[in-house]
Amino acid sequence: MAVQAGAGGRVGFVAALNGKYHKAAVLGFTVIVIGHWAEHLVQAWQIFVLGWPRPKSLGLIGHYIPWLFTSEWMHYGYALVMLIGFVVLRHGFTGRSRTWWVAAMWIQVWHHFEHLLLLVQAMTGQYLLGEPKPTSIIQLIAPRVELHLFYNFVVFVPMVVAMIAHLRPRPEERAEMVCSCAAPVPVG
Amino acid sequence: MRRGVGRSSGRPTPITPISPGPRLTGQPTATLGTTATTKPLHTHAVRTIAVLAATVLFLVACAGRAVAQHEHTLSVPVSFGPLALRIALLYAVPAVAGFALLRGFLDRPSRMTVAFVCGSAALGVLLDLMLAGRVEVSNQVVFLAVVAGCFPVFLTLAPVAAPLAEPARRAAPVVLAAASAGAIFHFAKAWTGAGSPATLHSGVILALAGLAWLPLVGCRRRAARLTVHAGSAVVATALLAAAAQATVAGGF
Repeated sequence: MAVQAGAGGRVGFVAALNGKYHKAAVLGFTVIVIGHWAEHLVQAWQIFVLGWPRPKSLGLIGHYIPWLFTSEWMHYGYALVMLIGFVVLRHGFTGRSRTWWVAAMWIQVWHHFEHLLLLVQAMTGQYLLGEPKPTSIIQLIAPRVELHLFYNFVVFVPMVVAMIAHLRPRPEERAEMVCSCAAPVPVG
Repeated sequence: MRRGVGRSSGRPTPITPISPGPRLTGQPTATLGTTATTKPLHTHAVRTIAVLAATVLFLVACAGRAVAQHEHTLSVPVSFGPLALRIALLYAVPAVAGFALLRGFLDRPSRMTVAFVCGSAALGVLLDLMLAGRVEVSNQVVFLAVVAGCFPVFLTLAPVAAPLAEPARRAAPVVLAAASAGAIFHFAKAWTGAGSPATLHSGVILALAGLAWLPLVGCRRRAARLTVHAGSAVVATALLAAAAQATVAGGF
């Protein structure tokens, strides 16, 4: 049975995702990320332009399925999907793009960890330092500030840089690539 | 050869310096008979700093809207109560304290051992913060304790943190000593009747944050090793007693 050897000598499904299907996988991952951003932008539009009350400003999907937006499970699930995407797809990146992608991955590890902490607090009813609501670690030094959208920005920026570098590789980076993401080199 | 962060109690291991490579040093790079000169390091650094600064400014400018917009409504239809946290703490504290008590009699810990002990310490810090209700130290000190507790885990598990291993190994005794001094101060204050349950919890958090760095410590001199191992054993014993008292006394 033929198996595809991908980045780093890996074989199987992960290798295929980092080789033959890397472009499609990264594109799908980007759609998920941008979809999340779109929901937040719609929510911002509802609050600041349409003047809707904040509890009713639940984005586009949340407008029809409210529990999706009001549940910490949703936030945690998204953070987990993001983390899995970063971990699985990192092998296809080389050189500079690999550096930026891994940086984004480690920021997402922290972001995911913060969401896990929020989820555990919500499930146990024991809040950090006796606060009246679930509290993230960063709130210890920046009280009353919800920074998870900020986290999304911080993860998104190096991710986009990594993708741009991946699409425009240097010759030595292109030589190490096993995927077809990069634009072909013009001949002649 | 086993991979580990610390150093054996009796046999120091030589440290191989990490070469930054021609790209970082800005030296010319020879490639197949041709010589290509990379950009100077300072130009690259200035550009990187400028991009980072611009990014930070952009993010700070967006933060106000982000704060106003993104509310977490925690409607989780499952509740475990604090029992699971208490059980987890009762695993984490003995794991860290046991390692500290036995460290002087053990060989160099493996990477997995280091990750397990550091992870247990970091977990213990967070669990105690959730169970404590309130502590006596400021939030900034708590934040530092959390970061100090989590950093060794990152250092052990993340390959990208390899360049930080040597500086961390040098800093480990200092962090351990500072956190231990703070912990002993709070334990003494609580046990002499001058404190409250919050004082005890502060000591537990600081002791766990300090002991998270113990697996990273690698002292060359015998006297220094003896001091670190004996001091850690004392802090570990006090940590066990304090965690037990806080549990039994209903401080949680």
